Amino acid sequence: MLSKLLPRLDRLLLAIFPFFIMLLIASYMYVDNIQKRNTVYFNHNDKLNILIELNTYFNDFIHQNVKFIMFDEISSKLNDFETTLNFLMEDAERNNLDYGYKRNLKNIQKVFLNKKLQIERLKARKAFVYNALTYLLDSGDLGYTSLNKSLQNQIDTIRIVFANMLLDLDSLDKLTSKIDALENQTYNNGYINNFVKLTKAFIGHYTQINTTMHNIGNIDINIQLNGIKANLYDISQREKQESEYIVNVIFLIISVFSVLILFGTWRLYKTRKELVAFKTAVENSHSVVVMTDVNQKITFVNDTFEKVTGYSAKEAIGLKPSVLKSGMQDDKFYKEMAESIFAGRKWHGRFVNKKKNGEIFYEDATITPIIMDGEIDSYLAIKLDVTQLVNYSNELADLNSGLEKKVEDKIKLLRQKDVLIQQQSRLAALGEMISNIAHQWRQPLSSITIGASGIKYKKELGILELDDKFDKEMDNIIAGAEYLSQTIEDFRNFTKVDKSKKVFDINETIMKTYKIVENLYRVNSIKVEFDLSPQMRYKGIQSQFSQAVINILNNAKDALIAHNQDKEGRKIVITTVSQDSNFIIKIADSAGGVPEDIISKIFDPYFTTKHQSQGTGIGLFMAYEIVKNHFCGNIEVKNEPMIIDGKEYVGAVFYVYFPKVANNI
Amino acid sequence: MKTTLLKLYFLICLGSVLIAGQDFILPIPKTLDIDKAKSKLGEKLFFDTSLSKNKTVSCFSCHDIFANGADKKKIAVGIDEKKGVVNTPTVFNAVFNFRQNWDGSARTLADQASGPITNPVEMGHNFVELISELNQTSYKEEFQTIYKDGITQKNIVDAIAEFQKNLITPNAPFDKYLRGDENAITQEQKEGYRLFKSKGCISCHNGVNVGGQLYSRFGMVQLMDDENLGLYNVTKEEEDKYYFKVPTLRNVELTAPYFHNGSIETLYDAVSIMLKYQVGRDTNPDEIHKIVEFLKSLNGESIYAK
Repeated sequence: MLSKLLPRLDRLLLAIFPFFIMLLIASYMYVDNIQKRNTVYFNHNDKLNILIELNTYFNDFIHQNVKFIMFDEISSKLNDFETTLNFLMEDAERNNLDYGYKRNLKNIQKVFLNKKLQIERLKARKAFVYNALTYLLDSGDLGYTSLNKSLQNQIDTIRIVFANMLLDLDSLDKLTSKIDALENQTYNNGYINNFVKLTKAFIGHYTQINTTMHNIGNIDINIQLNGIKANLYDISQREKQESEYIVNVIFLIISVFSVLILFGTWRLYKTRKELVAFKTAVENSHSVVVMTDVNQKITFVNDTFEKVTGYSAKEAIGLKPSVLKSGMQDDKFYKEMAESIFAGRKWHGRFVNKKKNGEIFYEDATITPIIMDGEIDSYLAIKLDVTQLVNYSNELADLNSGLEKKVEDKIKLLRQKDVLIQQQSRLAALGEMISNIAHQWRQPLSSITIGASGIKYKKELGILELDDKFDKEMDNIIAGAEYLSQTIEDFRNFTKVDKSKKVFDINETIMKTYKIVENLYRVNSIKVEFDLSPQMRYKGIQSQFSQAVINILNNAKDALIAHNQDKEGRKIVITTVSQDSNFIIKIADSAGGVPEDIISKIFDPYFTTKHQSQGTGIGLFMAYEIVKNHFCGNIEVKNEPMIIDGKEYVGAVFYVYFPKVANNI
Repeated sequence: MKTTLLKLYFLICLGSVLIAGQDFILPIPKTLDIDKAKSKLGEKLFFDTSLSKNKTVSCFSCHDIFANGADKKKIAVGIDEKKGVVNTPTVFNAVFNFRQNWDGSARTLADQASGPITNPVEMGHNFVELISELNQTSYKEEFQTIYKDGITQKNIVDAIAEFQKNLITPNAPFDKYLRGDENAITQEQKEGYRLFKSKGCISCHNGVNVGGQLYSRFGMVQLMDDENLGLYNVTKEEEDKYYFKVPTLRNVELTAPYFHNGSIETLYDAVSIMLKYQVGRDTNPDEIHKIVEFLKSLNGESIYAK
């Protein structure tokens, strides 16, 4: 499930990555803005402190009593206050500060302007009052010293009132009354006149100062400024909390993103490892690896490609794989391939391609479409150069067909040999038969010769009588001739190559066949017994049948001659029996049996236990072939005991099965 | 006992004030920070009569910066020989004044520069026409190289005010004395300075401009002239009647006639009147003479006046 989710996660990450970047930028700007705002608040706070400081200075100026003042400082400080206040108001507007704050600043400005006006009024008056006082209290003045004691005392009293007034111990009224009293005394003294004039001016201006100070006294800018400061602090704190909250949220989001990115990076690393592994495999592969984009333009080929095709990677990239077409394959082939891979299915086949140098080569290729997120992204072909293989295969095919021909020829040859051998064996059998016939002919021929020559002798002696003896002698000669004729007839029957299938009697055929070779058996003291069941009629080529029987008989005969030195124990029993599905001909001998190690080979062609000059190994093979192929039967051989005159002998028994099914008798 | 102690206290205050190293007068700085480009433009405008309606009057016409920064007339005269209201104050060191004009009607130099241009008895022009006129001339490009918005009233007076920062007169003998050169002024002048302080002139005529930082009544002890109402014209407050800006005493030797109405011709007379009406002190001619000598040591050097 996770593996299904992961590609989705990749895409999701990619999709929201721009948002993440935007978030980062936005949060950077936000934090920057917070800092700016902090700076603004700090700035305002500092400036407000400056205003408080300046205002304190103004208050000092206002409230101080007697002092020399250099007005440059006051003017510049008044300007400073105004400039600072203006700056605060503009800056508050610029930075969109709290409306209440801005309104408070405006109030301060109004109040300040009023205060400033009052201060201006105080300047000259304070200066004058200070001046006047220094003069009025100057006892060293010549004008004063030239006065009489009583006037001096009066002056001094007024001076004390000045002093007391400045210490708030006496009131201005007292001074006024005192100076009025002095004036009324109308002394014609320059100093006194001046003193009075000056004091009156002093009183006027001093009163004014008091009024002004009273006016100012109600203006308490400092309290307002401190109030504004506190207000500003509250606002900034509020903003600070807000921003802290937002920053926390941003931090949280960024953390989540960081985790996701870390995860993505880890995945990337994993993928990279895989990629490196596969890349290495592809680069070093013995197979040709080609990758194309979705439009079948080559995007990658490995080294093996370069070696095999002769095109370098640089040349190949951007081309289509069709550049390797040899033209030896029809369009249908390519169309099929294209259909398969366009449909997203893997395709496997063999290309006949052309190298850069024109050489033709064969490639077994698997082309796989690579599907990413449900769409074909690229095609991957892995190809193996099988040119060698194809060439070998072709050679082999050639060889094979040659071989087949050779084998055919050889078989033809062998068949010819077989035929030859069969013929030869047949000739050999014929030879034997002829010698048998010769045997058989000897006696009748000799009796004919004797009879005829007897007659001729008698004639020459003149004793020939045409009596019964003469008739008997002639009958003997005729019988002998008939016997000769019959033998030839039998022989002819045997040699007749009648290939037609006729119905023949098995027993009869066996007897006839035996008759031909009978002599050989008699000569070798071999007793032959017959146990024949009646009515064994079979359809087939008779000559073949007798051939098979002869071969088996001969085999038994030879075995007896070779094996049984004791002539008493030479016997062959021939039994025929009709069983359910087969006619069985059993030919048993007492020749000691077939040794176990060769019993399975005796029907093999060219297998013989006799010396080369005496046996061809064909006989039993031929018998087997005839029974098996011609009659569709079977021959088996078993070793069984035979009892002859009460003595037990071991011998071979040949069971020949002739199936009835093939026959319809 | 109490009285003696109090007297002692005040005398000590007084004495400490006079003896302690407190600053009363500051020397003029040798240079100010000036925007050269604006100043050059302002200079051109300062001499340019085309700022007036009939192209006869420029700032220079009344403020002769090659002489005393003002004129020699009792009352200023504008276009078509129209008579003004007050004596022309000097432009020298005007940059140090806390207000401009006798009645403090202009806050800054730039504010002040607008006044004469539109005053019917001075240059008698108006800014709308003036700006369109100036835009036909090379002024247009000159303004635009310095000011983004080209020729405006604000920019015209800003340039002129910037130029006026050049019109300072440092290195007066008294300034040199303040800077430590004991031989910069004569003994008589030193005496005059001491009297200047002890008579109380210093209480208003102090600072870098030896005045120019406050309003005072034209006759604090006794009113001298009730024709011009001064600051009252601006504030309309009763207590501001007859209050004028305390003028600078720098270069005062050169800027006769004196006072806002130009009523006094000689410095000697001016000092006498001040002592009588402003300070309320007895003085003898010798003392007045010394004070006058002191005042003569306040003549500084201008880059224009040679």
